[in-house]
Amino acid sequence: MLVYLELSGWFKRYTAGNTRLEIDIMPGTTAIQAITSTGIPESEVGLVTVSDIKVAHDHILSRGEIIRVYPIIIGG
Amino acid sequence: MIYEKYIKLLYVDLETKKIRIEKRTDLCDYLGGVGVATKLLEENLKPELDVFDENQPVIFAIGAASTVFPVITKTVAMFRSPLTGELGESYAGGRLALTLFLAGYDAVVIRGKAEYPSYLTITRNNVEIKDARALWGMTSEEVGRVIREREPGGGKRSIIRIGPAGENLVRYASVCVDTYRHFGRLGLGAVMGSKNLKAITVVGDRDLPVGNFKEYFKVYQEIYKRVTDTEIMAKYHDAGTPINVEPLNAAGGLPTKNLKQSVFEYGDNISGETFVKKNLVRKMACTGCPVGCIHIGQFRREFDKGHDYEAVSVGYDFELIFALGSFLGIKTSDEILMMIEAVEELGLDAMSTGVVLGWATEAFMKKLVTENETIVPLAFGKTENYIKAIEYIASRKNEFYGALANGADYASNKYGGKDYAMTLGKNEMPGYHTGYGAIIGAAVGARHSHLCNGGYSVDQSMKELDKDKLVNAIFAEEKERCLLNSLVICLFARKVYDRKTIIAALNSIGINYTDDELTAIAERIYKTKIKIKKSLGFNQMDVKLPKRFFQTQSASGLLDENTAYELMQMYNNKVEEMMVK
Repeated sequence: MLVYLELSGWFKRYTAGNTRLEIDIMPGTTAIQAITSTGIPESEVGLVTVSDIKVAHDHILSRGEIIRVYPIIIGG
Repeated sequence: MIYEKYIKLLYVDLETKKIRIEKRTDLCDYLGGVGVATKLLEENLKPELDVFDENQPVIFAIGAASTVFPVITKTVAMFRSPLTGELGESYAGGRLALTLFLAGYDAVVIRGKAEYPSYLTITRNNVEIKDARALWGMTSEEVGRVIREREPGGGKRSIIRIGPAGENLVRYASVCVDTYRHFGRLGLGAVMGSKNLKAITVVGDRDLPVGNFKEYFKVYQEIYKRVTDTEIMAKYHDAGTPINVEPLNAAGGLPTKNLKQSVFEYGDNISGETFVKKNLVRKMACTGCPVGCIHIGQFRREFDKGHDYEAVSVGYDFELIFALGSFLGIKTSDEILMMIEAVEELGLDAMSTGVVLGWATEAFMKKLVTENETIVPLAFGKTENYIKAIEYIASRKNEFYGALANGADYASNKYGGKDYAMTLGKNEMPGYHTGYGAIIGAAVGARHSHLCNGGYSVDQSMKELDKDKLVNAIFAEEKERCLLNSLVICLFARKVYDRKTIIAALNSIGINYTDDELTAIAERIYKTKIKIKKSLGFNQMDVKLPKRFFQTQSASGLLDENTAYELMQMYNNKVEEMMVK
């Protein structure tokens, strides 16, 4: 089934410059599995939203969902 | 002191003009940096005297491995904060750590008040107190330029200086270090101003052979590789901390318009990516850092109506974008850079200034004060008026701006509006409304800064609130940072400098400690800080959390006030347990 990833600009370095990806996943795939399948390291993943609602990284994805991914917050 | 079994101190008395050098073996128990500076503050502090009394000390210190390994680039300053009345602790990069190291001093203790405005020059063989009457009143940029022309040592010299805000004892005045770095927060600039100390220059030109070059170089290369190869450090270089604007805004954790909101409708206009596209002109590094996280942005400004334009360059990072951007409803990156330039020139801490102005804006909107006090109408998003207000704070233009110059806590005590004076332990809040970790971390932090224990980071890693886990994580981090800061490692590299790496680095330059010994040092430093705070009358449970924190959604949802106080009590219990151990 297809889901859609929308990436913060920082992640372009892992996705050949793309910030919107279409991914074909198996039922039961989690958000973090879908995200890391694109080459984005798990350690880089911060906030994840589905339909603008914050979800856990282990959220099970449903067909057609739009997942937005943001980098972890950094600082001192 | 590297390759020696003592800490070398330089004492300067601005009043008697006496200079003294001491070598202290006992201070090695505190390793260096914040450890040594904390102990020296405890020894020299006068709790019974006013914060601006001439007998209060200012201490600068570097660590045992400062600038010898990558990213160990900072200098710590300890003092009694005129903003909070308690522990003052601030860090700055630039060239200061290197020059102190090569001038041969681990720490400098300054006391007394100069008879007239002065600046201090420190070299390997000479210390002088010089006349700065002609420099008094100059902006940070101007005084830097004059001293650069006047003093020798270019390239091996650091110049730290205050602006008019420090001279006028604005209680959150900062100290500019080598143009683009600062001792911010808690008012070191005002303490220097109270001592008639406009600037300090340090020239370091010592040559120091490496003891065991083979071992040192091996460890150096390993650390260098980790610093330059890891994604986390790449992020600091490429995007810098402004990258935080986007995720915080998306998560509902970006303090906006005096925290009336935690999402900024113009967030995209002030994101890290926008700054890179529109304003970024170069990146710089502190001496001894291969990362280069200092982002310099540029904006255009008309000299005068109908005249040409100048291009103005200023450093920017996340906290500045929050405090002088979203917190005040400023909608564009250009305008934020203009605001940063204003606080830079006048020598104000950007975070406190923004948060103070957030309170002032709301107080004006709620009619607690009128234009008689504010002189200009304060409104979220009105950059021009905010820049005037910044000038009025720096000059303590009238009674109202004099109150703002004493901080949001003071101003709200005088005029009302305490529920939305966004301070924690009298220090203005940082740019994270991420959950309990951010609030409690700053409330219990030794200096009430997000940098004490990175509470916002705990929020980020916590799926749901686990009170014990949160309190334990903050407590552990607060202690560990006492160790990192005793080496004065830039905290951006804290994941690189794990215990194993620290031990290997120290061993390679002849300093041998075990893991347990380092833990003991960290705890010793933390306990000394708490002792100092208690001597100044600080009681953790007296800290009041502004109600606004619990009225505006955070990135972890709406927070409960009672839970926050419970967490603060839990943390306080842990501190008390540590103190009787």
